[in-house]
Amino acid sequence: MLKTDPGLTTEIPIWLIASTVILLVIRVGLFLYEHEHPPMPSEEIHWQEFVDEKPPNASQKLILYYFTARWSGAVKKLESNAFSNKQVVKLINDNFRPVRIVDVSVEEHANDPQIQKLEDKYGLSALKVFPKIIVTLPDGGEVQRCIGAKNPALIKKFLEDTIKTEDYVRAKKAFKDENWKKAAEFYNVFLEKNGLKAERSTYSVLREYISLKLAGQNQAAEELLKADLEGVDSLRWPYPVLAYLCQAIDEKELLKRAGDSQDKRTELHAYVGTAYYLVGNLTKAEEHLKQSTSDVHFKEWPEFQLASSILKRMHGDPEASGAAK
Amino acid sequence: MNRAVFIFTFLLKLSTVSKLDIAIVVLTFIGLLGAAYSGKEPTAIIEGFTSPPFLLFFGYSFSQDVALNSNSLRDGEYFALLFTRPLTRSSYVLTKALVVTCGTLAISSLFLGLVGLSELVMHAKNIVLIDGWRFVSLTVNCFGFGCVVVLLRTLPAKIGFRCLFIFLSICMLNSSTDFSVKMDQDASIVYAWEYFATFLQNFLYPVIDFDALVHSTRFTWQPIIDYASNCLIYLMIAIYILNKREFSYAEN
Repeated sequence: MLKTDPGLTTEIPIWLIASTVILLVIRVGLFLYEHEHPPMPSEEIHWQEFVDEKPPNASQKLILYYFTARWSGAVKKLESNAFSNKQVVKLINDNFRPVRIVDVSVEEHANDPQIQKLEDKYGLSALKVFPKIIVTLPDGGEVQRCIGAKNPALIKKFLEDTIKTEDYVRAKKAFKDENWKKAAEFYNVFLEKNGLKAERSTYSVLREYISLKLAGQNQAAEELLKADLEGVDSLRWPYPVLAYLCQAIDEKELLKRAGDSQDKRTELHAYVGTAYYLVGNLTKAEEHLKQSTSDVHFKEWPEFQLASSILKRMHGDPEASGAAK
Repeated sequence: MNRAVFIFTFLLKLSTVSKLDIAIVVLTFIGLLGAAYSGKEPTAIIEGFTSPPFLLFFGYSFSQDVALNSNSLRDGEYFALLFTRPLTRSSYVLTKALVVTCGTLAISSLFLGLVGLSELVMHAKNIVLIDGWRFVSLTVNCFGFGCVVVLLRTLPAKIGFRCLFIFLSICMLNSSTDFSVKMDQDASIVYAWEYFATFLQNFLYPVIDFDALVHSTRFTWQPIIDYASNCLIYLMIAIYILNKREFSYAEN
């Protein structure tokens, strides 16, 4: 067997050996030094350790709950990357009330009852996953959540999206609470901030229109529909409902465009029923609203609640007094 | 650096571009068009194409020396012939790390280009491209994974493939499970497991995030030193393994 002469080819450059050894020595030295003298941050997130659910004189800033645990490696990763990022720190301090909730159920086998209550409320008790960020309105309605040690760019995007979504969530809550004037105001602010092409803009235009109508501001509602119909994305649902309200398409065409989707049909029946109710055609209104409230997957949907509320109002329920708000 | 090894690796890859490679690119572009059409910002997609599992996969697919490299019986033939030439094994390793870096960067850039192109085609409202510091990180991380890939390629084919599988599993595990789940275990076991996972990641990963480093409120040299020493360790091990391997040029 003929073998190559290893002596000719196995030379290792001395600079490579030297730099490897030097870097390894620096690595160990720096690790030991920083373990004793951790670097001080130039600015930090102003965490609160706990916040009451409805504090008196609370600011209107969104609450950012950061659910964390001392044992979690992912938490350390998030804190050393994203929560040490200047842009993220500024975004959080300027726009949120940051609240850090430390879960100690591993170390102490139980949490403080207040912390446990909060974990139960936001569904953390069944499967405890850390880190978790949940952003809520000051009065408790959830805006968005983010799980895991995302890098600074993704956390920044999550926070910016949350800020953009804030008015939409506030509007949705007011809409569900039948506070029509407030709902119209928040949807209007959302549309001003995000434009007509954003993901939730079509729903915003539709719900603002309905809110204005139910608040008795008919002229403002018609003007809104005229001005915004051209601008919204005609390929997105629920554009056909807007087109129907503008009388650009008829009821048959609207049902055709909804297709077989039960969810879309639930929504369109709620809006069509409300439209009939507003013009005083109560028989047609009841027919559509009843269809909307049957076979609904999620009873938390604003459209389901709208249909239920109008039905109650038609049957003279004194609690359904949304039009007065 | 050896120019012959550098050019040969590039030419080999270009000459062995298969229909499957083209199909992957086309399908990716169609998927990106769909994402752009739905109006979603591609930040997460860009993160994906610059993530460790992708870089390792791109680097490994680019670095193949011969078409039969996966055949364990013929493994080493290439090296046996190569080292009859006046070329040191360390020079081969360093050149190969550099060429894999360039190749991985080229493939990543191609996919990032497709992201931008899909946004342009779909007239996205805001064209989102990779920013400066993230591109610097990508370039540096391509070198890191270039070092890992060269180490895997210097091992005998079967062992190298198993090591790739283990490394890829660790990368995917770290990328996909960026959260910790509380188990009903003793606190000491939970702490030990989490520290082990963090140690593995810090020790093994030749990855650096300049964007996070530059914008950090507490600057430290530790990630840079960790990254550089990891790369050099991989290169040193690769040279050591290649120096220890014996290649028969011919029998009888």
